[in-house]
Amino acid sequence: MELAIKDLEKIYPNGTKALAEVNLTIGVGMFGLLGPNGAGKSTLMRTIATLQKPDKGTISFNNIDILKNEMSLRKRLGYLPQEFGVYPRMSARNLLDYLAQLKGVASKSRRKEWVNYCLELTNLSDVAHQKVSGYSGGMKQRFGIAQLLLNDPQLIIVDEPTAGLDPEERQRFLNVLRAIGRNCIVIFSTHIVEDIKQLCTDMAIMNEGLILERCKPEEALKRIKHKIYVVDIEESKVPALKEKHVVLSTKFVKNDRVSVRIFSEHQLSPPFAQASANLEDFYFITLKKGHV
Amino acid sequence: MFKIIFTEELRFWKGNFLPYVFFTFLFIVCFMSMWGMASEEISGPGMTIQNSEWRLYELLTFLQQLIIFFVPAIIGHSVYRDFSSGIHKLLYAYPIGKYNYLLAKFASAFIVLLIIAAAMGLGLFIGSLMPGVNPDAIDGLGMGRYLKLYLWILLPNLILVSAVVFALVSQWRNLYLGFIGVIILFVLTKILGAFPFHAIGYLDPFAEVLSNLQTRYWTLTEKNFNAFPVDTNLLVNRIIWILGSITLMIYTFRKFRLHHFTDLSKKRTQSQKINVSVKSDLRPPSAIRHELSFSIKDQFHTIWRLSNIDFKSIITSWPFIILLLIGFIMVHIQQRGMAPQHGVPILPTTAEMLRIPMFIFSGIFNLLTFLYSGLLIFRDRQSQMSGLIDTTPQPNHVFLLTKWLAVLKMQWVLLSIILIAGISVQISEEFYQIDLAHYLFELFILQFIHFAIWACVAMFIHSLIPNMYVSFIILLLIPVAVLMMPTAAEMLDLPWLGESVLHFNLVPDIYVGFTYSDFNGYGSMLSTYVVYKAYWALGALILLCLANVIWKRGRTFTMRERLQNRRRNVRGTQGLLLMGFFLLYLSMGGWVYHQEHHRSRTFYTQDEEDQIYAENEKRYAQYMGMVQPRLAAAHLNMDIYPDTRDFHLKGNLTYVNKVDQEIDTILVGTSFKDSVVIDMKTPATLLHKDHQIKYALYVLDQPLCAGDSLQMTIDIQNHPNTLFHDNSRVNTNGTFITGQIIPTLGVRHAFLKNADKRKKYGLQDRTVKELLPSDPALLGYEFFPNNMGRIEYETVITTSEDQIGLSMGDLIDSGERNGRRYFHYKSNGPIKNSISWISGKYDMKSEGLIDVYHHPDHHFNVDYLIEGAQMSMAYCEQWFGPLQHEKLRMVEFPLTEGSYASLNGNMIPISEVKMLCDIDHEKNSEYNHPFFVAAHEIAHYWWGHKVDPANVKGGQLVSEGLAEYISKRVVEQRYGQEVIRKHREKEQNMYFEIRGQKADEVPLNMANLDQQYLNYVKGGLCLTLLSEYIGEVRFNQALAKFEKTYRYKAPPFATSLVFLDTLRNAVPDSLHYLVEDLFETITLYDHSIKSAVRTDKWLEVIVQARKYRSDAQGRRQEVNEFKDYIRIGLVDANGVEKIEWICLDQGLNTIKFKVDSEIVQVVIDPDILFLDIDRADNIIMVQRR
Repeated sequence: MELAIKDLEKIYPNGTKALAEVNLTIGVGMFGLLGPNGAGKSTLMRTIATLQKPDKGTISFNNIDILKNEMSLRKRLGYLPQEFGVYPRMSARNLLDYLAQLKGVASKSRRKEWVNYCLELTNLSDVAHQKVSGYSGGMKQRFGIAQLLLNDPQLIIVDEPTAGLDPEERQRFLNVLRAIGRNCIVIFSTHIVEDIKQLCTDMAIMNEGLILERCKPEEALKRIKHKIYVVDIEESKVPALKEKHVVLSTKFVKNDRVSVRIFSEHQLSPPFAQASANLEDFYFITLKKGHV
Repeated sequence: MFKIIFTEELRFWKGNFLPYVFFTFLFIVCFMSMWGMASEEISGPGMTIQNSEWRLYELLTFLQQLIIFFVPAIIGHSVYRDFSSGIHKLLYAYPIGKYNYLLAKFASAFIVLLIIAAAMGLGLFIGSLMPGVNPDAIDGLGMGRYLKLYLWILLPNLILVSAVVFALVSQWRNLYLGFIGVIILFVLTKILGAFPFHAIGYLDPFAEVLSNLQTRYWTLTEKNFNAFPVDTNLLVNRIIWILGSITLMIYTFRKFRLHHFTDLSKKRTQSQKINVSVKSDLRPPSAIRHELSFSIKDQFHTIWRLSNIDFKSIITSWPFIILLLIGFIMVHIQQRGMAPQHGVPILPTTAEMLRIPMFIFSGIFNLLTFLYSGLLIFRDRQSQMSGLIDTTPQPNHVFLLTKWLAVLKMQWVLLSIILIAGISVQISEEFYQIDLAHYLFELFILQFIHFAIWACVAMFIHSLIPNMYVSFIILLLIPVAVLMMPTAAEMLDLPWLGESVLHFNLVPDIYVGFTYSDFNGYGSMLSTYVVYKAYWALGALILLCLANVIWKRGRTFTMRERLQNRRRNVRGTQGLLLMGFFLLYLSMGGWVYHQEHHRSRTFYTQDEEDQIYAENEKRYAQYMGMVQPRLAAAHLNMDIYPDTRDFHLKGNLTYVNKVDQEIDTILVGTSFKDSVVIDMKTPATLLHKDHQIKYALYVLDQPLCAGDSLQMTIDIQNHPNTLFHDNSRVNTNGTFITGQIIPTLGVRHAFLKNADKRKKYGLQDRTVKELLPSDPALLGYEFFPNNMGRIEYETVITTSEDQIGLSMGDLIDSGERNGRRYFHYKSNGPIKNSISWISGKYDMKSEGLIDVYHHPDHHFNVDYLIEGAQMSMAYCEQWFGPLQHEKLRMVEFPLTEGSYASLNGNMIPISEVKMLCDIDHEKNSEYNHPFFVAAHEIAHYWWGHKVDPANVKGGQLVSEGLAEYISKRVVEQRYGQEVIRKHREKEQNMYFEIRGQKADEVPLNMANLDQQYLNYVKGGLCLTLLSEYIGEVRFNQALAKFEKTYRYKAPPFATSLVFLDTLRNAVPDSLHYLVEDLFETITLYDHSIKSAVRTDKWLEVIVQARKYRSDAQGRRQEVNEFKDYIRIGLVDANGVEKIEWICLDQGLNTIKFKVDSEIVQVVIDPDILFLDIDRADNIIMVQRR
């Protein structure tokens, strides 16, 4: 199973270059797409989900060109858009049944079985008879997962699903995602590095329509190992520091002193102290430098 | 704060295209209508002034029906746009007061609405100033009139609609509820319109009931020059509704909350306790991946099941339920009081229940179809669910057809309202001949096709236009535009616009439902309907395919991208299908066009008919005075074939020269509809044959001297019937063919009357001689068919085995021959020339000399017919001598052939409608229409047959007027005074109403043949009045004398002039003015009692007497001096009425009566005899001093 994206390009009528020669090959497992707001993640996700067309390039899933043959992808696709609503006055169970029919589950008993499973998996069984429009944010997001599972998909696309969830809901959500993502391709976009760390076996960092980095999280960490330093300085000295070093992040410590994380290819001496590298550092370095 | 929001709102509307579209649209419609109508209007007595207050009222209220549907898009949108954009979440947290917020929203939107509404007045006003308008048809600038109508009518109505829409939208934060609210108001006013009473008038939100009550009897002159009536009733209505609107607004303002959610009290799902870990023991069911199925069969199942869900979402929403209830009430009301015959309701047969005014209903059906298909199509996007839906592996047509099917199901629900309401009416009236199959066929097949086609259009337009409310309004306009096409074709002189192949979803001649007879069902119109609807259905399928092609799915950003998508969509099977439908549609259109234009056709369009009339005058008016021989004997064989719907008439006609003048030229006019072969047996040369207007001109080798006869044989049959054109007069059951198919001699008296049309065909102002009763040359001809005396008649009518053939004369032989039945009739001596043949399946009831042939199911009123006939016969025989015939046959004919009754010798054809009148059999104490009709027809044997007036103006006073008089007398005898009084009042109202619509009223002695409201209604009323005032005996004696003088008399025949002379001789000198008032002028009265005061022994009554003379257009002039006698009724406490005679001078009269009993009420003209324009002030309660 493989999703291959080649030379994908999209320029919006207002001139925004949303995708610029995107090339990616994604296999089974959780794939994290990391990038700031406006990086082009959603455009890429929607394009894969057959909701919009690129200007150039190809996407193939298991060697089928999905730009020409959308239906064959849609049959295997589970998609959770960044934002979605539901029909008013419909309960979760009825709505899932409705969607399952659209997804081609013709047998009534099988549909019932799958709807129950999806509800159970997303822990919505107890509230399945209630109207989805009255759900809280986390419940609605879990409903989103439930609906994407209805056709037992091979390719799952979830677009920034954890945004706005409280920590518990977020944790729960990631767990569900992990449970389902074992035997299929899951593409998961987020701007929260922590999600990737917890979940993904593979990742890419995207900005301004470009894929900046593409690696496994553990490999990313390996690449910046021993290159991250911290230093405590007065806040007023930060601009000077920025001129000399690659500053990744600053954090107030107390009074007007800040702790600054710095990336350096060369070994630095005190007061710079070596720190253990994390994925966030990798993300910031990529955004700052375009690559690591 | 108010100012900030207000100006921002105005700025928003300034940049929004909708107000401009609405404004331009209304302006153009009004401008064009006014300009067009005022240019077309011809100066003269019948002219309508186009900017009179009444006319402007009519136009503005008509367009108001349209503008109210703009209100949600403006007023509703102003609040709704904050919810829909989500900005309310920010905005409502700002320190803005809700009153400021709402008021600013409402005020700014209302200003926009006012500007849009102003487009109507502006368009009409500018239209009236354009070059080319007839200055006579425009009465000054009339600015004040516009202002008055805006202030009294339009503005309060708009305030109300706006308040309702604003309340609904801001309360439920849903724009479509605004539209539903408007539809409900719209339906409500239509329901109220069915009750023309003042009390209802107050409740009518648009005050139409009141205005109609005030103007319903207005004559043309009054419509042209009277001010629009503003009285206290209207004022009260306006105050009620403005206060209502304000209350609603205040309520809305108070109830409104600056909250995010629609309704905080609504239960939201409680957040559950979160179990962070996923159940480890949860095993997925066996993989479904490989079971997914998208076969055509599955697709159909999916479409059906999903459409049920969409359908449920419509019918379980409360706005729809409310609409359904209101609709049910409306249908119920309509079905209860439909098509009354002279105030008598029709039995609730299934056909009758289905005859509800589909015109209004189809409007409402369309509104809902357009609205709900929009809601369904936009539902995915509006609820932001399209991301989930669009990525499902279903082709576009699954979504499209799901929604379409859901709308169709909604239409089934709407149609079943008519079914349920109809059956409930039938059951509640204890009428159990419920024909379920008929209901289902008409509603769910015939009507349903029509609405399903509109649903396809709705699907297409809603897919095409990205704004649901814009497409909704466009959809509203489409049917209106289609309906207007024939008119536009005429006004703009673009004949191609009038082609029926272009009038989408219309079937020629079937606008408003079907006519259905128990005899022959829908008749031949059914096949035309089916063919046309099949053609439109093809067109609709194309639209549905196109909707599929342009179906919006996913995101597109440029036009190019969209076009690419569409191009991709039309590749493959879809493109082929589309192409196939398109070719099929075109070829079917071509075929329909061809059929309409080229096949043997016996149907003439209005234009063709006008042209024939014009040519008749141009080519043949020269023969107007030419004397022709007259029919003296007819021996005819009529073969009727109900199965193939053909007929064949063969026989000999003998014409005799009945005047003392040689005749050498014969002008034979033949039927337009049939194929006619004439063989002159008398030697003659054919000079000329006119195929267009069916004349043949012969010159006789030997001129006919007085008493000589002319022989001809005729052979007439129908052209073959085609799918579109019904060329035969034969029905499968209930054939009714009249003698009109027999050739006529002389020029047909068929000329264009309308001044406008005469101009169009290059005719001068009326050169054709008018049929004046003072013209001695005309007095030798009777009413149609212009005969001179009676004829010998013999006919053999053959028909299928299961039918009975009927004609006039005595049945001398009947039997079966070669599997067909024959009936041989022969007149016993000369009989009036009024031939017809009937064939059908009948039951017969015989009593005395009367046989009634009726449809086996229509036995309800047979006894009343017999009773009416017998009583009328007894009355006439008592006064005017014995009946000519020994056998009378009353025969029912299908309502598709008409709703009248007539007289053909001793056969009396009576329409099915009369047989279906709903008479209360138990009480039978109300006016009984079948009884009346029978009495009327029987009276014609004396007045119409024995005394047959000349075919000149006023002649029908002697036939129809007296038949009405006698039948009223008989009704009074049978049913008593109260019933006949009520009936007279009803007839007076009918007269006032009809004269208001016409502009050609003449005195009774000059009434034209086609002025039924004069000949029948007014004639009967006035003759009754005179007989009441000089006494029944004296009056009838005068009639008897007249009858004796003119009974079967040779020419000159009777006229209104000699008839009135006879009457005048019977009338005492003191009442001579009555003859002049009633018959020689148009005289109206407006008597009123000002006061009635009682002292011990005396009752003093003050009466104001007013009498008017009116001209043809209803211009009134008061008569200044008169001395009229009138009866006055003094009613005592026990309800006993004492009649006194009084004499009135013009103006106020004080009359004193010596009374010994307790008089409580005084009524002037208690018998309701005089044509009093306001009867409300004819009655007063007595006061005691």
